[in-house]
Amino acid sequence: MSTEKLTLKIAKAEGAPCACGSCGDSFQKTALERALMRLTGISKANFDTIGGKVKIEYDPEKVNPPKINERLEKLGYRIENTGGVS
Amino acid sequence: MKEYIRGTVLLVLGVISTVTSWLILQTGIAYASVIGIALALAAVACGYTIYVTALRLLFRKRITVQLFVTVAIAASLAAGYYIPAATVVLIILAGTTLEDYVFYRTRGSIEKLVNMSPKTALVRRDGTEVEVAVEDVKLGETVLVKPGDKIPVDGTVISGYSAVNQAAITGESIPAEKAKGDQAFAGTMNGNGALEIRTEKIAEDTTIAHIIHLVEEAEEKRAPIQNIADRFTTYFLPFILILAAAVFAATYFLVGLQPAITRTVSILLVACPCALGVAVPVAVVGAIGNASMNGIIIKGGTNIEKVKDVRSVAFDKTGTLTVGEPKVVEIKTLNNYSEDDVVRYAAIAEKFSEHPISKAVTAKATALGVLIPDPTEFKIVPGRGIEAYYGKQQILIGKGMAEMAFTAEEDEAISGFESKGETVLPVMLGKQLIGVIAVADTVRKDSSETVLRLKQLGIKTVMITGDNVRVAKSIAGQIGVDEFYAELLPEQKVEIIGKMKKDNVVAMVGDGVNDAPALANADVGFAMGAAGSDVAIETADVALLGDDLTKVEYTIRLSRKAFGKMKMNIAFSLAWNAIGLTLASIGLLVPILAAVFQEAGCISVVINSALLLLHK
Repeated sequence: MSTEKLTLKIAKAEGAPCACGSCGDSFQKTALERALMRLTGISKANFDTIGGKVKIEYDPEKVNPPKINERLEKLGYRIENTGGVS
Repeated sequence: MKEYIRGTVLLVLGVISTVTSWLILQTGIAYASVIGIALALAAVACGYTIYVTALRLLFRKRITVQLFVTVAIAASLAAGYYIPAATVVLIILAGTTLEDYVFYRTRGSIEKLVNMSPKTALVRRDGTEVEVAVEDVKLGETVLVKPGDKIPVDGTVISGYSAVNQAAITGESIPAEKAKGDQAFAGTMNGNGALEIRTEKIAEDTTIAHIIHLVEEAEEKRAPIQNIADRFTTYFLPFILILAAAVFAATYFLVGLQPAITRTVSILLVACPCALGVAVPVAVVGAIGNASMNGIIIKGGTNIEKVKDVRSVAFDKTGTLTVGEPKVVEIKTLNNYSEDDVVRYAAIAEKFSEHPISKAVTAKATALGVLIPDPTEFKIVPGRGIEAYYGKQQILIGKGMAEMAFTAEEDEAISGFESKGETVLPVMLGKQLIGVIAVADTVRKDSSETVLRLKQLGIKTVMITGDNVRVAKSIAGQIGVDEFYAELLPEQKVEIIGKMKKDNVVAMVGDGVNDAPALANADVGFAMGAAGSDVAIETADVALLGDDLTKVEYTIRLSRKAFGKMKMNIAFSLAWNAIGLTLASIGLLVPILAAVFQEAGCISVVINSALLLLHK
């Protein structure tokens, strides 16, 4: 099984960020990481809420960046730039 | 690492350092103060995420509560309050760790659904059975499911018989019987029989995967009330800065520098509009999570707010309030024939007809244990009935087949059933009427209860149907709906919903396929039995995955409760902050208490919202 890494810069499509950064951000972080990990083929997901970056490790045979992008958009995030595959 | 686990580790380390620091400072050993201060600073360092977050956000020109806390801690350390500073850090750390844990649990409600899906499947390949990962099963392959195992794919049963517990998808605990030709869903639990299933959908495409994704998406959709909370938040931090500056200046001139610093630090520590930022989203997630465990998908916070305002519910009749399949409801015997005789002759005649009414008759015969021999001859007379022969005996079914006049008693039996909206089947043997069978669509067993419970919530119930007035009146009477409209074309159903919407917020309950236009026109569209239809799940505002009608009332109650919690949390948060800031401004809240006060407020609202998961 091969693994590829992907870093995406994302932002919540609707709503201003919460003033009380800690609670709101941690709530979003938990949600996004878990939702991504439930996608077949994704083994790791780390969401840095302050930098707005999500780092994903995935198996290219089971899932691909377009599918990941679609999932992120459906979860209410806007993709600002694709960091590229490394 | 999970946030709350890291938090717990840091918290334990911090507590150990602080306690040791305090103990060492009590002793007079050499370098006691140096070691003690070092340990207290180590404890303060355990809250590093707060300072890092504050600085990272500051670089992005965002002033946040974390920055206030950082400034407060720095001020305390500068003033020589090492142990109090460490204590404040630990209190905040304990609070956020507990919050992270609650978030983790709240977000995990659908994990129950996820864990329902098995990771491997037993597939028939090249004449043997091999175990493969679920995502490697190919479409069309035959999957074997042993008794007690979970079904790994969506597909059609090709052989075997079993009772399958579909609670994971529909929320219904009564097992559904599965035989050849029936749909089976991944994640459901096989009962005592073995099943062979032809694979139609795997992994991401299965119904359960769709449901999980829809729930995740719904949880991200904001409730409109959040906008009110956000409006407060916008003014909150500038207000705190002004207040802190004003209190510092006033206290400095009136009392002195020391109290001025303490009060300012307390104000900075007590300020956190937590409920405004997070309690509403947590309530949305709690309510949607609760619903998903009950086979209900509420599409986002907006729909929670709409559902709570519903004042009238329109139901489609066929398949929603009724089972949707005709059944034998009554049998009247005549001329000394027994019930078994009437059913037997009728079933012989109806045996080879595919009409739903014929199926109702043969099903009744099977239920009574009556054997049904094949008819010798059989002919359907369109629009009139059936003519069949069993040996030399002629069997005629249907009013249009009668060649003789009925007696007064016979006429009364027929018209009696007809007035109840039932379909009447006179059964004739030769020239004699031996009995009358009444067939009707039956009311779902939970229809009356649902209507009654909705009335208790002050909600008006209306039935709309394309069926004739007589049938509609009979069904409406049995269920107890407030109003009914019959003989409607699909576009007229849409019009009726439109008219109802002028008076109040209207929900429409239907199967989501035939009633799609009316469902779409209602303020809230409930699609029932949606598990089998992706279109119904996608388009409805609320999808009821099973056939349980009482879930309509459950959804309304849950939404009312969730909205109540959102309002309560916003009000509580504003009041709690007002009290905290007042106490801090007049010097009644020392920094450590301010930290406790703030965390207590935050945690109360978060837990209050998360408790929605336990609502019944």
